[in-house]
Amino acid sequence: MSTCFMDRLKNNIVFVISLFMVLVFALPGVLYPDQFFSFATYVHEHIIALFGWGYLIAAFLFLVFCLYLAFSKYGAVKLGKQHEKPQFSYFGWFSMLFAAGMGIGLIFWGVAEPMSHYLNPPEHIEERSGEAAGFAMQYSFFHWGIQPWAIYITMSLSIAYFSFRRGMPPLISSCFYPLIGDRIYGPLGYVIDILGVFATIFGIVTSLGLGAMQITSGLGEVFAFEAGYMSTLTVIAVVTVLFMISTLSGVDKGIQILSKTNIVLAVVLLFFMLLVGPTVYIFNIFTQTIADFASGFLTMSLSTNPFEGYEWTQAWTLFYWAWWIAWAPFVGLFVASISRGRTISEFVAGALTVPVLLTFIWFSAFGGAAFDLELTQGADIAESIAGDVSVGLFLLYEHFPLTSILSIITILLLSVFFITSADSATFVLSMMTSSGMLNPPAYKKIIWGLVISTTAAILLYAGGLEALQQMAITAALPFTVIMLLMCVSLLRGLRYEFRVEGGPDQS
Amino acid sequence: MLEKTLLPLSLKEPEQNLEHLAGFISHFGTKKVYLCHVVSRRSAGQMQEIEQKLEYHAGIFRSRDMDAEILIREGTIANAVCKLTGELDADYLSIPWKKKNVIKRAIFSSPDIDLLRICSFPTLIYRPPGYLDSGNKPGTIVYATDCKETDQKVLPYLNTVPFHAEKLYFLHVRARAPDPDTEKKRIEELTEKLDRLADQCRDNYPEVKPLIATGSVRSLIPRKSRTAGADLIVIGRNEKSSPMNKMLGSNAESLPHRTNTPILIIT
Repeated sequence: MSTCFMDRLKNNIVFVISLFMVLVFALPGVLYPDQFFSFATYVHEHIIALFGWGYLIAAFLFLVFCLYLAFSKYGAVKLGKQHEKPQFSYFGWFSMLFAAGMGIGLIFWGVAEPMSHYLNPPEHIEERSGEAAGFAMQYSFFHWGIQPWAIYITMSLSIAYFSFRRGMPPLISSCFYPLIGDRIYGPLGYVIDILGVFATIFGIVTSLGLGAMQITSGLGEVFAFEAGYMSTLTVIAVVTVLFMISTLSGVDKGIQILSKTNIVLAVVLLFFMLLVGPTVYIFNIFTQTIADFASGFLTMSLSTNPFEGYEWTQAWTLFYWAWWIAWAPFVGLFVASISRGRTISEFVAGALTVPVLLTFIWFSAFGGAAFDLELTQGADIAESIAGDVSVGLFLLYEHFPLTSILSIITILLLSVFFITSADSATFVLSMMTSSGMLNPPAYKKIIWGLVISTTAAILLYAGGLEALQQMAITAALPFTVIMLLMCVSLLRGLRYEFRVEGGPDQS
Repeated sequence: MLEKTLLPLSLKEPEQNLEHLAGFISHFGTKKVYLCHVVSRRSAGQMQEIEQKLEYHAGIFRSRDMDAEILIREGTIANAVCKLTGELDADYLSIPWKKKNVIKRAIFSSPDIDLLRICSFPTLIYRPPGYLDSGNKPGTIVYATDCKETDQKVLPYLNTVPFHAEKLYFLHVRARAPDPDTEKKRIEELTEKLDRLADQCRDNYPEVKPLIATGSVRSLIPRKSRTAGADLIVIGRNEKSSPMNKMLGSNAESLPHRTNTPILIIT
C-alpha cells in the first residue's frame, strides 16, 4: 500500500469514519424504526434524568464565562490578527448569526411555544390562567434567549480564537491544543471532531426531515391539498438542489445573500404583526415579560424544580439545553467562520444582544397576537396551535388580513431559512471532515448534501426521524464536558497571550 | 551565604531526624545553628526541662563542628520565629518537615505551614531520607526556575554555597503555548535561555543540564525532580503574588506537600 494512499486516508479519517457512522446509526432507524425509537428514547430520558442538572449548570457557566471574557482584559483580543477588519458588515453578520442560530425553529415555536406552555404548564400553575400566560411568555424568552447564545458563543469563540488568531485549522479539536498538545492530531482529536460531525449531521437530518414536513403542511394550508410523503419528498428534493447551489457558490456569497433575504422577510412579517396586530397588547407583553425574565433570570437558569414541575423542566428546559449544546458544534463552527476580525467584547456583546432582542420581539409579537386572540377575543386557537406546531403560524394568519400573502412569505422565509441551515451545515461538515480547510473540496460538499437529504427522506419514510433527533441530543452529554474543557483551554490560551506574549498589542 | 540558620524545634522531634538534618546542612557550609523553641506560656519548672532538651539537641550540631545556641520564646510559633530570624540576622530557616494529608492540612493547619506562608527568609524544608534513599547529601540538585526575576536571587546561592553536588539541573515547567508554531518557538527560546543560565554555573558543577517540561508547575516539579534523582530542589519565591496564589498558596509553598525531597526556598 503506497504512502500516498495512507497519507490521504489519514487526512480523511474523520470523513471516512463519520460517513460510516452515519450508516451505522441511520440503518437501524430505517430497518427497525420502532425498536430504534425505544432505544433512543430510553438513552435520552436516562441522560436527561441523570445529568439534566449538569446541563443547567453548564449553560449558566458558559454565560458567566462569556461575560467574563467580554468585560475582562481579554475582551480586547481580536478573533484574527490584531490589524484585521471584520469580513462582514454588521447587518450581514447579524443576519447570518440569527439564521444559523435560531432561524427555522423560531418561525414555528414563536407562536406554538407560548401556546403550549399556556395549555400545559407545570402542575403547580393552573392551565389557561393569567399566571400560565405570563409563565409561558417568560419561559419562551428563557428557552430561546441568552443561554442558547452563550452556548454558541463559547464554542465559536474558542474555534475563532484558535483558528484565526493562532493559525490552527478551524476544527473543534484545535481548541484543545493548550490542554493536550500534539495529541489533537491523534485519536483523541479525531474522536472530538467525529463527535462534532455526528451531532451536526443527525441534528441537520432531523431538522431537514421535520422542517420539510412543516413546509409541506404550510403549503397544504395555503393551496388546500393533503400533505403526504410524496409532497414532502418533493420539498426535500427542491430544497436540496437549492442549498447545493448555494453551498457550492461559497460562504461569502450564497449564505450571506440568503441570510440577508431572510432577515428582510422576517422583519416584514414582524412589522406587519406589530402594526396590524394588537400593537399595544404586544408591547405590554414585551415589557412585562422583559421584567419577569430579568427578575427571574437566575432562578430560571438554575431551576431543576425537583419539588414541583420536575417533569415539565425535563421535557422542556433540559431538552432545549441539550438540543442547543448538540447544535453548538455546527452553529459554533459556522458563527466562528463569519466572525473573523471582531474583538471578543464585540463578538459577545453583539451575539448576546441583537439576536436575543430580535427573538424576544418575535415571541412578543406572534405569541402576543395569539394570546390576544385567545384571551381577549375568545378565538380559542391555543389548542389547535399547540396541537400541530407546523400549522400554528398559519392558523394565526387566518385571523388577519392578507392571509395568503402572509402564508406565502412565511413559506418563503421557511424555505430560505431551511436552505441557509442546510447550506451552512454542509459547509461546516465538509470543513470538519477536510482537516479544517476553509475552502473544502466540492465533492465533499456534494457527498454531505446528498447524505443529509437522502437520510432525511429515507427516515421520513421509515419513521425514524425523532429517534435520530434523540441520538443527536445524546451527543450533548459528551459535548457538555468537551465545552467545559474548551473554556479552560481558551482561558489558558488567552492567559498565555497576555503573560508571555504581552497582550494583544504585541501580536 | 547559608552560614547561619534558625531551627524552630518541637521537643518531640526525633533525635535521628536532627542528626540527618545536621549532616545535610553541613554541606551548605553552615557554621551557626540557633535552636529555638516557642512556648505559649512560661513556667519555671517547664523552662528547665525545655532547656535541657534543647541543650541535648544542640549537642548533635556541635558534634558536627557547628556552633549551636538555644533560644526559648513566648508567643505564636510562626510570628515568634519570623521575628527572631530577623533579629538574629540568620541566613535561612531550617524546618524539619512532616508531611500532612489534605484533610489534616485544611482542618488543623500546622505551625510549619504558617511559617512557610508568612516568613520571607530563605527556608530549607527538610525531610530525612527514607530507607531506599542513597544518601544524605545534595549530590543532585534541581533548580526549578521560572526563567524570570527569581533567577537573580537564586544563582548567587547556587554558585557560592559549597553544595559539592555532582549534577545540577535547570528545570523549567511552563504552560503549553496556544498553538504548535508558538510552542516550537517557545521551546527554542527556553532552551537558549536555560543554556545561558546553565553556562553561569558550569564552573561549579561537573554536570549541568537544562530540563523543560510542559504542564502543571505544582505537579511536574516534584515528578521531574524525582525522575532526575534530585537530593535537593531549589526554588525561588516570587514576591508578586496573583490573587489565586494568595488563596491557594504559591508554588513554593505547595511544593513541600507534594515531594519528599528537601527543598531550599530562596526569597
